[in-house]
Amino acid sequence: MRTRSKYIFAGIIFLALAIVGVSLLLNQGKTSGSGGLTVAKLNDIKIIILSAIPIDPWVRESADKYNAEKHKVAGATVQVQITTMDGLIALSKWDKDAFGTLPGEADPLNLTPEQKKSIENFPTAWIADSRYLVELANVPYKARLGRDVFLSDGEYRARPLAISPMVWGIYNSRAEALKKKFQTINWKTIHDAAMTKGGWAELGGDPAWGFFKPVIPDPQKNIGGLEAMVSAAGEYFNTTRIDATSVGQKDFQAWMLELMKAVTGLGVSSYTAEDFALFGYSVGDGGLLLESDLLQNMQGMQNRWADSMSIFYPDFLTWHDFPYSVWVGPETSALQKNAAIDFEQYLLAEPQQKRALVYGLRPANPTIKVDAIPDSLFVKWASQGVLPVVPRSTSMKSPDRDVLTNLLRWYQLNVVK
Amino acid sequence: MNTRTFRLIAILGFFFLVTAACSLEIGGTPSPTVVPSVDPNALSIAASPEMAPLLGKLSDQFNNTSKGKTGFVPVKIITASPSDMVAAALKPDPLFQAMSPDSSIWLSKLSNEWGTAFAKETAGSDTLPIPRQRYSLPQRYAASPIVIAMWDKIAQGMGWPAKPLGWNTLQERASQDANFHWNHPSTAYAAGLLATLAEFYAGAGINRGLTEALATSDTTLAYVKKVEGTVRFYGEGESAVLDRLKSDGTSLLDAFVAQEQIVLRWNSENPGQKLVAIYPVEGTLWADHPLALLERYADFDHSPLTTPQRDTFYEFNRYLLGNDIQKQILAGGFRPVNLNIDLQANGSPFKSNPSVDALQPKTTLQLPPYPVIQVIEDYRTYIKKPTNVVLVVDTSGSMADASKLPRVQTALLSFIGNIKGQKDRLELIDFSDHIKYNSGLLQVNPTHKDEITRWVSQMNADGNTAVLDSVLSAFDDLQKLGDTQAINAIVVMTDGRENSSTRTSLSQLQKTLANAKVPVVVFSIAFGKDADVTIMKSVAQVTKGQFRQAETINIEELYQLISTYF
Repeated sequence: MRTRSKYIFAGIIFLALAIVGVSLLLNQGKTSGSGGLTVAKLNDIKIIILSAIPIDPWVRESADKYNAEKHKVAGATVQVQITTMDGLIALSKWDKDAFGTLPGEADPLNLTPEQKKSIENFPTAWIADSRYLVELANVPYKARLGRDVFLSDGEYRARPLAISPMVWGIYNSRAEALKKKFQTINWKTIHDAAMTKGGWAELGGDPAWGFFKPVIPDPQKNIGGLEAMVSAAGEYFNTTRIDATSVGQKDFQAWMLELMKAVTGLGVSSYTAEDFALFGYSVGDGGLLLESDLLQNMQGMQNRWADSMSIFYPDFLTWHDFPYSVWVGPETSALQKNAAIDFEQYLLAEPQQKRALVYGLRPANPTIKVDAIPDSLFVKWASQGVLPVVPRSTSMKSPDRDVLTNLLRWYQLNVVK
Repeated sequence: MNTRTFRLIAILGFFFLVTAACSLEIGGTPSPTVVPSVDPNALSIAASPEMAPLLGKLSDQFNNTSKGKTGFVPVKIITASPSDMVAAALKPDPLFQAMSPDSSIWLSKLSNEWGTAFAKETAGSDTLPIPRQRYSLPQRYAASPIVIAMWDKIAQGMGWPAKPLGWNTLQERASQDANFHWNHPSTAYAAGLLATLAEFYAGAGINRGLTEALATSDTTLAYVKKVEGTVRFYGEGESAVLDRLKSDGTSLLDAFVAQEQIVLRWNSENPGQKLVAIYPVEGTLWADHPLALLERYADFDHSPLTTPQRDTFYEFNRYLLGNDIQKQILAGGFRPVNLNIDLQANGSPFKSNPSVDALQPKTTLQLPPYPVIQVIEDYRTYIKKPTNVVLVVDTSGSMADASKLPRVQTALLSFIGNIKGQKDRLELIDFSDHIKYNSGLLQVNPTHKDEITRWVSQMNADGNTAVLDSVLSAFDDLQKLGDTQAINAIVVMTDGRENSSTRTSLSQLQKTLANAKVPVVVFSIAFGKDADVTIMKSVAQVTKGQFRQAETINIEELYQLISTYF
């Protein structure tokens, strides 16, 4: 080759490499700009996990560790991306197919670029607050696809990651007065206290506390509200299994309405223990809240209001069980599903299950006791009435979709409007 | 291989590599469809006026720390009143992706109105009755209870702190003592909404369970009207009240309704008279400063929420909850939501401060259902005093600037549109060195509005400036009408200097205004840098009205604002 030709050749190759290099750099910038976690190498696999809010801090902490440890599935490094989403919002999105399932005629092995793009951020798994929500989410897909999309058995079955019951949390100062007046704390006494026209002056408390203000989460914004209504119905009818006929009874509805109308109403609040801690006794004297939420905020309540909460367990218990449910459909690959299972096993392993105690969550693994580690919130707040083992004899059974739908419709028509 | 073949291979190789690069570009991240008006390369957050300065500072710090990090976009703060945020969020493609009103009440309003718009979606028997949500992940980053801010000497005179004070004591005092001046913000702000709600509760004679029927009963409305009659001036948010106290002096008001943070802010910025926070004994509300992400829907909005915007929102939210930032929020007078931060720690504005009480409030007022909230938000349409308002508008030669007259015309049309009361009267005076047009005080109805609107649309800029004579003419018209039951107001705007009045001088006009048989309030606007500020300030001050300076960019906003006073 002549010298001139060599220069031309070298120039062309250099130019080509320069263009490719610049293009790759630009492309990398744009790719990383489109999301926090993207496929950087062919061997990486990204999974998106929708996480319920109460369990989110623990799941995120675990995901950060998992990602840092560079776990591999079938040779590919797994990157877990957590998307925090309230359980009811997620349910509403599943119900309306807002995550965008592929059309029936789509061939999973030969997807068009548009189809590939449409499922780029499809969730690989969902950690809902409660099994109630998973069952409700399956219903529209069963009607549309003829099958469940979250399974109850087999390799991909929904497994609880941790559990936390709905409990009564009442400011110590108020709890003392209530116990003196009613001796016991249950739905009936909470209802009667809320109906007392003279408020705290009549209940034996400080008149400056105003009316007795019960706290019940808004069932349209927090699944805890729905669970509270189920628990109240259980006590009202003295049963652990409620049906659509019971919740439609007029006397029950009138009793429930009195209770719901006594709630102070904090605007948008879904009434979490965090609200309680931030606004203190000014917005509520006591209410049915998630145990883990209460334990996480107990210190804050003491710091801010010089008063903390006494915990009481209702006679008719409802639970958050945070089921980890892998999406079973062509929108996620087999590799992604297996990666999701790998992360699930990581969460269920002893080290992470013990870490759950720091967040006030009861481990799903029954061999781990709530006092297994010194910084367990169950140890720290034992004096406030938190029980190491909660009796499950009166646990409410999961109600049918009809019951939940009827309760929600009743709430919309009678409380919201 | 010969040279020619070699060259051919090299060229083919070049094109192969370039094509590969291009296909990576195309296949990797196709650009999303974006409506031009929405900035996809930023996370725009609408914030309430009281919080916007602090949030702006914090977002700058966040942008500096996240600069260069992949997957994030800069955060931008847009100031808006909470009710304006809600109105924008109900429309497709709002110019912001997240909002931070002063209270969650506004998110609740958004939720209700949005739910109503999509009610059909949840109406079917097979669908879950969970409404589509416009926002998600609401997270509070600061809180401040709403209080009655009162000068310490006045509070002590009313028995505070030994005697608990509340809405009823405030309303009674204002009703019995004509010299007691108080104010609350408009119901476009949480503090205004609460103060008005307290009036409705007192009027209905209850402390909870307010219904629409009770709120709109004659007895309740009569009470609210009576109490509202004692309010010194209306409109705007709490920061505007502080500005007026600074400019007009502390004697302007004895008490006003505001966030606790405003009390701390005033006391830290002003060495003189101190405010104290009265936590109403009947209960209060919280300004809880939520930050919520607006969800977008393909069947409603054109511009999707991008993954970097969502990720930035999440990160910014986490950033705001960090210890250092929460300490800055505390230093700004708000209560931090991070409960590990001690309100009584050294350096905290709550530490050993008798003006505020960190263990208050003891109780809150019950928020009634949404239809009742709507009655309270629109209470002025039920009880407001009739208004006689004269718009005095300078169209002298200096207004010929293309950026001036058209903006003023738009602002006037918007103002006229906002005056809706059937008992209201409106007059337009268009002047230069003489009065070009005087509509006379006309009852507000579509015919009269059309008449005034037609004139506004054909205004021309020419001649000199006789602003004093024109204000005097407006004043004379209101005196002739002699309507003592109404609010009588003049809104005067000029962009130049007085040089043609013959009927009166500034000192004479001040005397005339001060000694009016029928009290008149003057709102004056000095438009642009050449306007006669001295005259405009004087005529406003002598009537205890308001003086404002406007640039071309905010003249429409200013007229819009003034219209809320009527």
